Amino acid sequence: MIALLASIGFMFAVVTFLAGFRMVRRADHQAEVLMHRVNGYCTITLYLVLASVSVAKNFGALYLAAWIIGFILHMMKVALARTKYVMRYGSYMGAALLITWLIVIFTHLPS
Amino acid sequence: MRFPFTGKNSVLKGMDRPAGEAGGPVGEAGWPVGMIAGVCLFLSFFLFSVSWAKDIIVPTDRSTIQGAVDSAAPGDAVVIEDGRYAENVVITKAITVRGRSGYAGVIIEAKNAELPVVKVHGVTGAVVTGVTAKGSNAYGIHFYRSSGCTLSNNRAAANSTGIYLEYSNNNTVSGNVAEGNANEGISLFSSNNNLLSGNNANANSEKGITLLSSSGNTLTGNTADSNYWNGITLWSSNGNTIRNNTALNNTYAMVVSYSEDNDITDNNMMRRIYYLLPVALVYFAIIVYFIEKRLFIIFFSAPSVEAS
Repeated sequence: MIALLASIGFMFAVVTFLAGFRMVRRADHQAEVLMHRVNGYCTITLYLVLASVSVAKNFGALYLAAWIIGFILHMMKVALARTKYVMRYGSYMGAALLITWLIVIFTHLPS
Repeated sequence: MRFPFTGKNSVLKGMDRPAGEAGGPVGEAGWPVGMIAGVCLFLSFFLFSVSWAKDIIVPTDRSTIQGAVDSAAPGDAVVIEDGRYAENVVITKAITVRGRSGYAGVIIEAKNAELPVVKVHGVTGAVVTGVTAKGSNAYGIHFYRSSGCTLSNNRAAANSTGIYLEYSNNNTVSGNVAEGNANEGISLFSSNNNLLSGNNANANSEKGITLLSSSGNTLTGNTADSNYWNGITLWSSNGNTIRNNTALNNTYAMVVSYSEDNDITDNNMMRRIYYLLPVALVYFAIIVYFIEKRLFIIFFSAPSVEAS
């Protein structure tokens, strides 16, 4: 269940990343600006849902800490993209978030 | 004066038959008395020698499964009602042990964890069906020197080995679930000509289905997924038929060593299929991206978008 939700989240993250990448290159692309934001909100919402479900099932300090670090990374990316001078590094951060999602998937695969 | 027993209607008239007439004494219906006596003798022998198969209900007739097994005669059935039973059951005669509503309701846990939960020892023609065997550091269900037995629709979980056939030939093992065991799900050792069909040996800590020094067995329609090491293992086992089995997400789908003349065809095998999952997801996400982009352009289009 968690692996399935994480897979959907990963897909959202990839779509967000692609839209963001295109948005940076073509700033006048309104549809991609909107896509990037909508998919971004969906990704973060799904991340929070997943974190809640996962922590409820297996509560542990390290477990909770890992999810919090992932959430901080998401927030850092948003903050970075909204800061004018370091906006160019937003795509690096976006790529890092994809790795975060991969970790979420692989740590929740059925054994 | 007439003698009372020698007249025309005397009951002794049959004894007046002339000497030398064929056949013995004849009854009123005309059957030879010898034949009637023979039939009666045969029927009495049949009734006393044949014991009619009966059902022994646990815990209604006997409080324990072993008690019911001990009191059963060959051909009887021990029917177990739903519930949890802490026992190590040993079956040494050709009886049927059956869970009333299947393995989900009838759970037998090892009372002594060092012994098998259910052991079929030296039996020809026993049947074990519809029970869950769990919690043994040895085996969930152990067939030892048994032949012609049937093991169907059982579950063996959280044991060292789920189902273990040792020196047992010509048995049928079908529709069983052997999962979450510390070593193998289903293992055969020196056991030949058995039929394993439709079993699930998934998520075991070592291997799914293992054949060791076992020949002439048929494995068909079994599933051995998500085991830590091998899905299906053949070691020093010859002439087995392995068809239409599935072994996914194991470290090794099938390992065959020191084995010859095995017919291995039409099996569905892939190692760790989940490793390919992100690749597929990326491709799928790119398709979603283009579809989504088209939809956004249609519903939220700006002139600049159309121009681009």
